[in-house]
Amino acid sequence: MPIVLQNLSYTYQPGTPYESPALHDVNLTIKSGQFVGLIGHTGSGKSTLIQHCNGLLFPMAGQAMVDNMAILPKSKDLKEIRRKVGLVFQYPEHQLFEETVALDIAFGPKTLGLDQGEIQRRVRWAMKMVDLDYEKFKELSPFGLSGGEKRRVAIAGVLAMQPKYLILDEPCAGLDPKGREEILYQLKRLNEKGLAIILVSHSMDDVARLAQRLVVIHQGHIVYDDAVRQVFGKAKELEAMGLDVPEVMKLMMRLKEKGLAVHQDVLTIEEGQDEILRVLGHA
Amino acid sequence: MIEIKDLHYEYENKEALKGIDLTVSDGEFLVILGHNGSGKSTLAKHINGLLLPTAGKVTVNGLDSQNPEEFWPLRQQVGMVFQNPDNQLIATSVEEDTAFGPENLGIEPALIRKQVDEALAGVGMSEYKDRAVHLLSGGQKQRVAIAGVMAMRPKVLVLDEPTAMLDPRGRREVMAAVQKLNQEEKITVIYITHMMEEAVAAHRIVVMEEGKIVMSGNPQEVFNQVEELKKLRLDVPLAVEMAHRLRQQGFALPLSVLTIEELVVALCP
Repeated sequence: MPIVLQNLSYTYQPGTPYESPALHDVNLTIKSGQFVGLIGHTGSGKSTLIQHCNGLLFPMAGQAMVDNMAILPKSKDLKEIRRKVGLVFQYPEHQLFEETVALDIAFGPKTLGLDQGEIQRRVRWAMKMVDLDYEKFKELSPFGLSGGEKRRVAIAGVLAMQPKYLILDEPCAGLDPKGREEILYQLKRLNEKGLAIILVSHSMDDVARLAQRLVVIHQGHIVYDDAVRQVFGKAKELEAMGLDVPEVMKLMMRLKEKGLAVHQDVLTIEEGQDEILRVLGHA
Repeated sequence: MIEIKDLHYEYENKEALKGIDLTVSDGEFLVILGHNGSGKSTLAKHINGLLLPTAGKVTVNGLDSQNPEEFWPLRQQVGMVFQNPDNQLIATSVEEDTAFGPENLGIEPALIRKQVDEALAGVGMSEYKDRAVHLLSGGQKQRVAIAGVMAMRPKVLVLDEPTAMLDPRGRREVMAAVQKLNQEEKITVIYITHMMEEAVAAHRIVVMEEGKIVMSGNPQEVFNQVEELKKLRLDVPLAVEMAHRLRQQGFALPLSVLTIEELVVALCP
């Protein structure tokens, strides 16, 4: 049971002088349990696309479905669709508002009409998923936490709805390298537990490390949708679209140009190191 | 010259800066690293008087931020650029936005024209001067934000994570514009970032932790302390990390390797 976008098109402010087409004939299927990276320059249509996945926007042409439920403006299924597809916006910590961490995370589940015991169970589970110690953090004000901790509280709030698909728009922007590492590690772990993840990112290194599949969007069209290694093989085309390849791949490409017989389709520093050692031998 | 002496800053009974001593020379490109909450932005905001010291002293070219008579001249010498370009642009066209600062300084129109033209040229945005701001890419918006500051002719440019929200091309554009202002117009640059690849361009890097400066040196000196940086929740550029790993495997690579190009030369002489 997947998220399916079929021949989907969307235009902002149609019929006005400000009309601006955002998505053209997009076809995309996200199956449960997948880890998909979504890249594209600012204004390419990424945000418009992800807002179609949980009914924040409705297609103007084509259709959007989540687990066989059509996303339509007056559908009775919208509440269930929005629960199934969790969306973590950029800088989600700006949306924290409650007095304590536990209350903030409990806000979503409360709207589902669950009993107190279940709500508490979900809050504990969500905090565990993002590595926030329940006893230590539950009574703290979310506003006194560090940037990385606040962001984890915000992600826990979405996880507490127990979504099947989790979409994150630049979850690491503005975090220090360790904070970034922590969020990425938690996403990997959540995916291993079966949650489908769509990671929107400007960091080629991050999507290279985590995603199995990479979708590239450019001027409202999906231009590549393939295994990560295949897509990053298109270095020149990506650069022309304002994108890039992972740093380690740039290193391998330059070494190859210099005549070293290394493979270029390397995604992590560990792979790059093995490849250099394979060709140059141990010194 | 910027002189910061024994700077302390407290808010809500927390000491965010605990005795900073730092001198930045004219024309220097200084990068400040440090994890979220280490005090980088608090320090940066003291340089143009957005925050004033609880104790200690900040002067820019002899102007003291705590002296009411020197406060406004100091502000004019230090321009600041922040993370989100959308929060920093106010007018509808690129040119009008860039002129906003000098207009508010009461500069005569002919001179504003000149300063705006030069500021836009400095960041490579002249050909977009009539463009609507909301139609620009992230990198272009951020360069307009820099031009808006440069049009007031500051001596110092303080940038607080100016590329954090940008796509790869936007990051390259902004970094190139800042380097050009530093090299060609001799603007003193103080650049806060979490992107280690950008820090390589600095003349000097200072690393902050818990409101103090804990490391300082040129990029080679700082980045070769790989283990110490990781303990401070930071990282090193890919080329440095790879060279470090290869050295552990017995490769003799110079410690001066900071960029991919330098690593390529070291591996394929």
